[in-house]
Amino acid sequence: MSHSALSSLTLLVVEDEPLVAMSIEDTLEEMGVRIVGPAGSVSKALGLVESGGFDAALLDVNLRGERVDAVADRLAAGGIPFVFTTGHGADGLPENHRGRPVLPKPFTDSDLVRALSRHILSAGA
Amino acid sequence: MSPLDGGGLAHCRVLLLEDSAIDADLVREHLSLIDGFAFEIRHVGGRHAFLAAMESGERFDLILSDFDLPDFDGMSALAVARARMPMTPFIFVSGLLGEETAIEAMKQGATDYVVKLRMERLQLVARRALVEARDRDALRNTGRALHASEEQLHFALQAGRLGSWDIDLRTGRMQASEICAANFGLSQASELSSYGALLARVLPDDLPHQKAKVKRAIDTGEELDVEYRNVWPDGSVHWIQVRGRASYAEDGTPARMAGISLDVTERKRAEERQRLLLEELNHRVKNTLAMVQSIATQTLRSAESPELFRSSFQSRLQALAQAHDLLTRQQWQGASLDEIVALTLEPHQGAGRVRIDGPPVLLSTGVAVSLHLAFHELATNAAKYGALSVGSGQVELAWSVTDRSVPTLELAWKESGGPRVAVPRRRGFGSRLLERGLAHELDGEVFLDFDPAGVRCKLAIPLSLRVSLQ
Repeated sequence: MSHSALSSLTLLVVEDEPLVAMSIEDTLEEMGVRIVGPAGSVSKALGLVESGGFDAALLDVNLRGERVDAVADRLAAGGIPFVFTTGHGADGLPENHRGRPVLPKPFTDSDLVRALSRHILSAGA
Repeated sequence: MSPLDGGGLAHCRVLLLEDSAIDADLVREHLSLIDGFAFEIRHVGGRHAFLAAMESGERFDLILSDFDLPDFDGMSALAVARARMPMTPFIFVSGLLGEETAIEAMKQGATDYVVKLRMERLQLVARRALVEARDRDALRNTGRALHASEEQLHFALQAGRLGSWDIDLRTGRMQASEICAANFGLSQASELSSYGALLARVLPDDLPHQKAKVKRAIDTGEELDVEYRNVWPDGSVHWIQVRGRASYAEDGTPARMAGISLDVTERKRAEERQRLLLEELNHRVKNTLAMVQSIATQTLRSAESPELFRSSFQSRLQALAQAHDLLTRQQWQGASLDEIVALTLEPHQGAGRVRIDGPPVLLSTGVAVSLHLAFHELATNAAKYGALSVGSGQVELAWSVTDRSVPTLELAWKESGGPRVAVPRRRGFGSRLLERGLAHELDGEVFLDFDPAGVRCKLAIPLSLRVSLQ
């Protein structure tokens, strides 16, 4: 699997479980992807979205019991592509973003790479 | 008296008050001529015997009485009989009875009268009295049965908290029981006097479903069974289950619909709780699997051999399971810092190797799991390479709340008396979990110091809903 295309990418990671966030960071860093975050709460994520400096985002749907809808809305308004990660089925996705790509947890490294390549690189990021 | 319908003879007990033996025989003879009855006659000749018969508790189907007796009179006998056996027909059989006396006797409750000169009338009169009495009995029994059945139904409805209702489909008029009205939050049954009044209370979202079900039941004649939400006058929303069936006029047009109602709000809530619990369970299992995956990946990353991978991975899974056990005992409402610390350090505490000191602090579930995994890493490292690897070593774990810009929990892990500490060549899982994972999870700061005299770790966590003083 070639990751060269991903290596130009800066990604916002929103994930409240530190172990999972660490794992995502490891995988992405190995591919040369730069990371903004990880943000473990909605308020922290909104702050990072405000500061910008990333091309795309990986969004955990539920952050410490709080839904990530506000972050998704903000990203969508700014035209920034994103992929959801979730332990729920597609049912739990924010109402306005049902059509967005989803990585069901737990996901493999290749699932992650494939999702980023397909949905984010192709979005022109 | 047994019924006539069986084809056999109706057995009939008669009390005959007559002082003349000849007249008594005459009565007996005429009674025997009545078709369909077999008479058993108790003949009494005067007051004393009559009263004794009345008191005896015997049942009589017919009383025949003379009007003039040497020691008694017919009107007194009638009064006693009305009081004692009000349902038993009473017929005077008398020598002569003036019209006024006869009218008075009938007023006092006599069934009829027969003059002895025309004794053959007795057959007709007695038979008619017996048949009428039997019909009255039957009617009374039916009425009693109906009443009992209504009471039973009422009791069953009450016990089952079932409301009942009945709608005239041509006029829309509705009759609802009190419980049915209560199912809609109404105190008066009269508040549901039309089907329109009911429809106005159905939650608009559920109205199409309700209407479709009712229409189908009326169109097909099948049983109606529908659940929908209704809005009470106080604005609260309740679930109701309605079952019923339509009935039709002779030309087939729908005439009525009747049935029962039941408040099923509690059941619906329980179902909803169940669904949420299952969803939550699914969510937790997936998240836990993602954590296990991460632990495996990162343990593998820093493991020096397959054997070391195996033992480290198993020990970390055990730590994760311990944290889940503790949280389950606390109904997933969080845990205290004391409990989390004890989970890891209790085995070492007994030997006086570990000192723990700090005020009560309450942790949310997520923080509890993360801190437990962190302490597990520190304790495992101490037991393998640090202060707890030799007999003389000590660990001190102390925490307090200090006022920085915001109130902050400061927690210090300090090892002493162990072998000289070497800075590891690369950061292992434990260091990474502390420095990156925990700092991230807690929005705090973590300093890990491989002091040659003993490992030190300091955490500074701003107090929040997830980390609070108890």
